Amino acid sequence: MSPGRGTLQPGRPGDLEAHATAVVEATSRDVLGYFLRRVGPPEDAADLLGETLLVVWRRVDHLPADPLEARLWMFGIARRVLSTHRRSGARRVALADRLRGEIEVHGAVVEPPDAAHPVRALLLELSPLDQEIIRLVHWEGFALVDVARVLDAKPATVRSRYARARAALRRGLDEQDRRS
Amino acid sequence: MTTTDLDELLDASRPATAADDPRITALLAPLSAAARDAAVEPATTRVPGRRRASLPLVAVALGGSLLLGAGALVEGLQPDHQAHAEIVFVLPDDPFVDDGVGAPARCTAVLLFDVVDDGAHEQEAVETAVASRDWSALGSQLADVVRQGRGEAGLGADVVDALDAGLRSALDPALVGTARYGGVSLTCGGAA
Repeated sequence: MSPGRGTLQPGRPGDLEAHATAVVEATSRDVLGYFLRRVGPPEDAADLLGETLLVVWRRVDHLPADPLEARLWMFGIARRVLSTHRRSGARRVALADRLRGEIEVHGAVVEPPDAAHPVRALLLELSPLDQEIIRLVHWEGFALVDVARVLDAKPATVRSRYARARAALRRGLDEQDRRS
Repeated sequence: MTTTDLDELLDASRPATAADDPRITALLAPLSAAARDAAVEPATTRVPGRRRASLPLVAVALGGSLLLGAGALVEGLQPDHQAHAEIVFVLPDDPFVDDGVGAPARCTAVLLFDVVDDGAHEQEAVETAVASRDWSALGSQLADVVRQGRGEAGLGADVVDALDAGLRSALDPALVGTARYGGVSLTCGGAA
């Protein structure tokens, strides 16, 4: 994802801030859900969202003008924040403390563990990249071309991997049906 | 199983979360405002001679374990500590080389340098180097990051040259191994 493509021009800070605020407000909830579905404990999602928003605002000059592009750009940042989190562990972000507390108190994911869910258990058998492609399509609602943007990958590669992953999942589900 | 059935099963596998809970969504705008304010806070200034060498200051991470990211993240900042940048980049081929494992060879360069500002310059320089995918220039661009991040002439031309040469050679897919050049540790490996 080229950071310069379609970005706002500097010199109009009020417009830029208003645009960024609108993008962040429209996308933060979905990004929080994206983190909640991928990390444990769920409170870490608050810190990851805080990190993401910090990066977004630090790099706001690179924010694409087009709302869809801006959304994909923000998810691209979220993916890299998550990748860093998985390599180096959680980093407590003070500004996310209130959100962290709210998630701790009220819970955030009311679901059985992935291993106990038949489809999600099969998903875990795919490669990490294929898992993420499936999740971005079916959990986050992205089109394949947008998944490619979020992952900074070639659309043709994402399409072929998606098709292969679906075929593997279909075989696994058929096998589950035969056993039951 | 029909395609529709499979789509429905996959869609239904999405874990429900409380991201839509009004008690949580009410906190998102204040969180964004706090992040915006934190992002524009003045950069900390460096006080010579007070550096604590072992503490990472700025971590710049590019991409995930498999993917080449065009962005960089400044992970943290504390005044007067040594900077630490971890840069992960794949070799100059299709990062999605489908070898059945899905992980191409990759290199990790760990750069140590003093911080002189909030890390934004280092972030920008590294990001530009990778986004351009001008692999021939990557070595010298990263050397510039080190040199400028250091903020002084004491890094030593030999170290910069070694880094430059090391990064260039690291971009040779045939190279596997680890090299250390002063404050720079460079590792190239096989499948990640």
